[in-house]
Amino acid sequence: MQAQISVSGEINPYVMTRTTNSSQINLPFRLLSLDMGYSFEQFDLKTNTAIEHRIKTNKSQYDLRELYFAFYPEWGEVKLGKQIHSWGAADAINPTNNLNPYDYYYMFKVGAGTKVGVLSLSSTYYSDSFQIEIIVNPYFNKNRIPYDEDDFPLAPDNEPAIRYSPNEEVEVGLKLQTSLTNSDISLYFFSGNDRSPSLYTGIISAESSTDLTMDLGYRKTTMLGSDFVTFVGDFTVRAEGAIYNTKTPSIKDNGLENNYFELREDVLYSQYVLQLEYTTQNDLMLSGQYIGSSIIAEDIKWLKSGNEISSSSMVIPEFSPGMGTPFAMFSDKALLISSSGVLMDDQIDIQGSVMLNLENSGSFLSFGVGYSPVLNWKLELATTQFSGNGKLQDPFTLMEEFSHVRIGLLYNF
Amino acid sequence: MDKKYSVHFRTNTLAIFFSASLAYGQTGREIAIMVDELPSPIDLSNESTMVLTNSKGKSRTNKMISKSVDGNKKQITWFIEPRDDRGVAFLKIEHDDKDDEMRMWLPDFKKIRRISSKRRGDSFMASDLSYEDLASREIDKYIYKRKDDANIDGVDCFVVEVRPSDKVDSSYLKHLSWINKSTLSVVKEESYDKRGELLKVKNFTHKKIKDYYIMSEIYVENVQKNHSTKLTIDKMEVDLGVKASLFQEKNLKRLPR
Repeated sequence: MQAQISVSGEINPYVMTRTTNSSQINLPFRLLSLDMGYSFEQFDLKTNTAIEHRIKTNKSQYDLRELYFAFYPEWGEVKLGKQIHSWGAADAINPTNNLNPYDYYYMFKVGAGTKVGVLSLSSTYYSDSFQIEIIVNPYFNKNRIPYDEDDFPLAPDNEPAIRYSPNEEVEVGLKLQTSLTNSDISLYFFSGNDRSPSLYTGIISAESSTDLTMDLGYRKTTMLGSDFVTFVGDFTVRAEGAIYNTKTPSIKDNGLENNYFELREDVLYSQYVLQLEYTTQNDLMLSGQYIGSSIIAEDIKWLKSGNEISSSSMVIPEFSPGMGTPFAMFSDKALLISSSGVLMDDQIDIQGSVMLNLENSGSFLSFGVGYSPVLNWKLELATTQFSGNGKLQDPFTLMEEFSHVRIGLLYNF
Repeated sequence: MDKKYSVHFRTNTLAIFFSASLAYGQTGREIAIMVDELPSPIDLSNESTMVLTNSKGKSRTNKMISKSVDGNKKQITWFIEPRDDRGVAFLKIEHDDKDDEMRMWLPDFKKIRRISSKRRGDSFMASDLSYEDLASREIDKYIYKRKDDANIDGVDCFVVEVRPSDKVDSSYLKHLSWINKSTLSVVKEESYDKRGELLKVKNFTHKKIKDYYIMSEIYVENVQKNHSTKLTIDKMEVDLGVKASLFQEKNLKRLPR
């Protein structure tokens, strides 16, 4: 048997210019992505690395996004190392896809590039009628959030100090997939920790009763999910949903002062996507997604020395999910309509999408065109526009100043 | 059990020459059955180049590797070029009792996506070949009518009109197939759209490997779009003992050596 070495990747410099004042948006982007692999018989060694660059400061940093070893026995596959997993049948918005944290710098991209690789052991068994996958993450990993980024309106001002580490770092995921007559159905289970932090304790200063220090941690969350793909006439239906049960663990911190309060959250919430897609005779793909999230049951209370205190003395904060799709922060009910197609033998590709907030006014519009005059080279022009309801807390309003035009060059090798 | 009449990668043997040459009184269906009953390889592996040429004469090249068994009923294809499609892979499994299964591995998404097999008229990789063009034709799902014999470039041919019956979902009204009388391989086919207007003209070249005549080149011209596709098999091997387990999703993720 011959060993095989493969090298491929892309170079993709681009600039983003605000539509409001033509100023440049200063955020990092992946200038170079490099995939390298070594295959021998039933074994693969794969890496994915990136050079992340920031134009304004002209600084680059190396990112080892994936490095894993894969073994392909007759019955399936086994992979060990830093890797990115992708769960869920819907496009781009996947409530079940929680094995890897999100990289919020790339939240408006699609695909595996939106995720952060984690050390994990995974194994998939294939039979004629079903496949089963088990994934174990030995260490906890959190979302990469762009703290203190003036050019990313949703970025928190400062990275909060995390006082409480997860009690159990080991996370487990399980997937079972089977095919019915003309459909695929999958069931998912994931037990892990939130990817975004939430409030654990509040400590009232001894000097002033109004001076409150908040301490954060990562809640324990268990997810049950499912997805379904079927075909109705010329339409493809993809549905995906997940129910999460999240709980703040009991605080065992002897270093806490007497005047601390403990926030105890026990919340059951859901996220779901219903996608309908259709391809026209001209190979234009049209897709509509109804995206929703809701709180099914919640029990949130402040405790003092293990006893519930009245809510009048401490305000109960609004629940914030620490897992699931980042788009849930934009709206509890939204409609996303997308289209994509190619013209002139793949020389021109076009894509557009619009997201409408169905609960309040607010929208997100993007349109992009790529032109490839020479094989493997492409010029890219895209625009993204946000429109909110004018209220400062509204994410669409906050993102209005992020509306931009993006011009880039893509070279695949 | 339905018999298959596969346009692509169809094979035959020299032994058929003699029986075929005596078959001048056959009906269209009987000719189709003769073609269908030709011996075919257990499995087929090939590397191919697909050149798309538009009305302005501008070309674009795709390269791919493909393996198939069971008369192309199970097929896995890995795309090598263009570079932005490298690693994309396609798995097709045809079923007699339910819709075919088609899945694509999208490396940028690290995801296997099930796609519809009902839109058989959709273009395959932006070429002039549709998924329907690449699929097997089940004998009993088509109606055959023999037309007057013809000679193409010195080759005596049967001419058979093939119309999809109401048992099959087709984007075509009919095909006209020119079948080499001596080898029983299809050398030319015209495909007509639902309005009865000529849509595609396909020319086939075959090559003998072991005891089989296997398609080595197909040139398709979409006469309505003035666009053409030339699919050339650069390297072809048969009966290598390709295992059924190759046609699993996990193998979409690995480019073959």
